[in-house]
Amino acid sequence: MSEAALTRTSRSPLWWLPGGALLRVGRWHLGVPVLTTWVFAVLLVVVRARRIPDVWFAGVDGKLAVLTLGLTVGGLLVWAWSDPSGRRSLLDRRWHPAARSFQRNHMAVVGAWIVFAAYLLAVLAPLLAPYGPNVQGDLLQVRLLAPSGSHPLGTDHLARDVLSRLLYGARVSLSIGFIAVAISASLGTVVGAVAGYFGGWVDSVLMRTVDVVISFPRLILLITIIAVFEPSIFLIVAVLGLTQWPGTARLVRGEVLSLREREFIQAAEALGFARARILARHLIPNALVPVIVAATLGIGNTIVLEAGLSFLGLGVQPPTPSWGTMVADGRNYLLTGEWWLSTFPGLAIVLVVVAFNLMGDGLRDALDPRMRKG
Amino acid sequence: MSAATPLLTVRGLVTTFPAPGRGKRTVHAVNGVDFEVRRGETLALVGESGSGKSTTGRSILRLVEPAEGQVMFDGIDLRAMSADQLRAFRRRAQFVFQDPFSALNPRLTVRSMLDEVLRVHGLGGDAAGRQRRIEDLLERVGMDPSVAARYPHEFSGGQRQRLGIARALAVEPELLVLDEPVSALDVSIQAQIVNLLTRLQQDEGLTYLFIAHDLALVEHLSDRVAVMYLGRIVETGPTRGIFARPLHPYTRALLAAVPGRRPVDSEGRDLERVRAEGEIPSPIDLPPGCVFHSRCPHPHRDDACTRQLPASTARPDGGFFDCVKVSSGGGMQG
Repeated sequence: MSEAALTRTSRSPLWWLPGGALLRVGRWHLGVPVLTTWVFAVLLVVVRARRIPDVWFAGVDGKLAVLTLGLTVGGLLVWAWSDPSGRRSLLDRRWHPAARSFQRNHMAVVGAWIVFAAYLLAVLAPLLAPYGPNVQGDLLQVRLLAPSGSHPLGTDHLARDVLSRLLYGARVSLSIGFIAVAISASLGTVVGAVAGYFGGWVDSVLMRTVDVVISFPRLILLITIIAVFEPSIFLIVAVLGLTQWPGTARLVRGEVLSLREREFIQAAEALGFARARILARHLIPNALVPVIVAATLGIGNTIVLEAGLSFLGLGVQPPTPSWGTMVADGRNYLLTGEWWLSTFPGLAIVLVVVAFNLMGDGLRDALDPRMRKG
Repeated sequence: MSAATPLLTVRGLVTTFPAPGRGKRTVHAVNGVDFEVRRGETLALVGESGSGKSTTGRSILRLVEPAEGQVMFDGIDLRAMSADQLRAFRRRAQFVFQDPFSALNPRLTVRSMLDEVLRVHGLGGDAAGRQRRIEDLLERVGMDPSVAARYPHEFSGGQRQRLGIARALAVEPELLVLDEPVSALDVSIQAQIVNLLTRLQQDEGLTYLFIAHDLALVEHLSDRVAVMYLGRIVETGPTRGIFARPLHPYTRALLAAVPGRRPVDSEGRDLERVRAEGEIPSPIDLPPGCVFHSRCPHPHRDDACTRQLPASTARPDGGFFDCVKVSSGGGMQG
């Protein structure tokens, strides 16, 4: 976006309004959503003011969701802070061709919006959900009710509201996917970059470790570890995160091996930069494109894996709702006509995973210059 | 240190790489090179691709580790330097790369790139001081200070090369190793960069080691020339002398290959074009004898050329050349 335009309008009468500067310069397609989102958020906070403390004090899943939000916002802040020119526009100019290419891929944009909406709903669940996730109605009267006005997605066998559980379940399912992939992507990036840059015996040791980890049958390993220890969200996140990094490590190592020969790395060496600095500031930022793509696709896979584990009873333990446990709980009622128990969480999983895959494919096409059209 | 002492003295420099494939064979990219560069002058290293001139430049800055030999920079032995000394040396000698498109980190703005150099070396003081210094650097390489917020992909090849030079100048070095700094640029842009380099040398008293294969450029820019072939310097001397009276058969062939240049023999008489046929041989498992014997166009080459390395003979203008078949007066021997 034009800097001159932004600077000029930052002192206009609309400057205090979110998106005001954008509206002022006629960028309606960006300004209107920003303004709507902002109004919606304020309304939500005002109307549901009494529930705000729940966002922070809603137990483990709430803390996970807050952590997710914190990681996203913190990451953005750090990124914007690390380069002064990044403050001016959120999207660094080097990405502009990629962003344009991504926007032309409508399926990917739809996927990105679904993902964004899912995370927003998950974080705001305490404000949006009509009931608490574990609040039971009268077992005789509201058990297994079909979808209706007071329970839009019906109630389950313990007389709990399915919509509320679906929203709270999103916090667990989505944050597990996000955090596990964040762990594996960070670990994989560091291991791969160190192996590729230092080479020699460091490379051999690290890459043989990768071979060992990658050759473990992952699901069996997961089931064994979870069977030995008490199943908990932290254990699942840790196990999922610590078994997925070798793929990323290989990707990054390959990138670093080719970057290492580029002249700007030699220039950094000729300037006497420390190896840690060269790794962190010159190699890793340039090797991140495949990591971003792999991580996006990986979140989808991890959500499916978590749902599978929960379905088998090895994941999130009741009464904490997760999409996988909800599908498992409802499977007994599928044949007796209470289809809404399993169907809605199942649909939610499918929708989010498809959205992640669409977004990941779009990102890959947009970030790889060879795939970019025009 | 007196002004007469060379800034850089290289003695018997050997740089090897493991040869690709199986076995323990090595590539002798640089195979016993001697030269010196005096303060404020430009020494050109010329030769075909594969002659080891780039590797020589890289070895001098320890971007690759030399296997043997001595490199003295202002009286300090580079190969025996401590980490602190190496760090100090990095501020005194810098490198300008050939390919301006791969020489700049695409993720950093011009300001971040230069600021990082200043911060790492503790130059320029506080943020405001560094900012002034960045603007000054950009002006010195002929760029507007307002470009500091831009990313490398927003610049043309010539502008990027200017930025590469600005980065090298950020530490205020005494020696610049210029590795074919203009060969990747359009001809019109080449002249601008060459003029910039000349001006910087005049204004700031820089010393250049100029690696090139464009002989017209070398004649224009350098004070002395060293001709490299297969990892060795076969002839060296003042630029004017080398171009007027090349003695080594390889230098003659090289000069004769410049389009539009009238080939002359050592007495200045017109000559048929001397040509070195074929390609430069593999620097793996070098045969004994003169490095050039397999392609030498000299009419009298014989067994003496293949038995042992020719000793250096002095040129009348102060340089030297390595050929047993040519006398320093220019006549033929043997």
